[in-house]
Amino acid sequence: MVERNAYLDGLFGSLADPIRRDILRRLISAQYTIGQIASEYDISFAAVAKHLQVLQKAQLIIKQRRGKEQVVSIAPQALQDASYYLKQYESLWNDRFDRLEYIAKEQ
Amino acid sequence: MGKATVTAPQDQSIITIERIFAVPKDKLYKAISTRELIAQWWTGPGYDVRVEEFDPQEGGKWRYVQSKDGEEFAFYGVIHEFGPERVVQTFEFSGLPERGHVIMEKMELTALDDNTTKLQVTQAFFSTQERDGMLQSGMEEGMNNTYDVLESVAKDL
Repeated sequence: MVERNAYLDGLFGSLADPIRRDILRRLISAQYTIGQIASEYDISFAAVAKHLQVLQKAQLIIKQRRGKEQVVSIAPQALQDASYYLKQYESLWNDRFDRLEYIAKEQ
Repeated sequence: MGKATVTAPQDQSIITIERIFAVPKDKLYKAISTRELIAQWWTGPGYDVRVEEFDPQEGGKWRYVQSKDGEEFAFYGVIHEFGPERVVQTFEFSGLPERGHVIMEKMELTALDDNTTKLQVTQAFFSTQERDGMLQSGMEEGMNNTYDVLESVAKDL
């Protein structure tokens, strides 16, 4: 239990920053090299590398060496949680149903 | 505003989605059965939806095309029943690498009182693997809400 909470503290601490959340969002659909990620932001390469370090420490991302480059991808253990997928699906439908309710009220 | 409850039982290849709407049943039915209104709610973040076919009767077809950044995907199926109590239809997605992953979808509307309606959606898959694939595919569309989602997962722990 204590371990799980420490894990979540890391998770939420690392997600508190908008750039880190944005990096994570990009990594959901593809893998990128550190250079590619850094080129997307107006902050220094070192600052981006630091954000990646925080995400890695929270077990949200993994870095793998591929040839000369380091490729960053989303960490399965952070997101392959069944309840996570369920909540995600729920949020998709809630979004849709919010609009449905609004439209139905106008009828 | 109500919240949808989604369940995916481990031993059954189905997903159920339930939500209580603060809307009379006839209005809710109108919103789900009127061609021009469907595109307005049947969408995801950043997507446009075009209703190409919608023939709400037994044997009729439906086909909605989602487009985002020039890419298009179609959702389509055959309607088996379309009425104010119940809608039954098949559901397929053109973005899958192969055909044959057909989902059976049932929507049930129940008036709880004059101004409250329960909508229950049941999606039945051929296997739990296909069902889990569907749950995971919902992810990219809903990604804008990562933080909210993680937060709600954490609350349940």
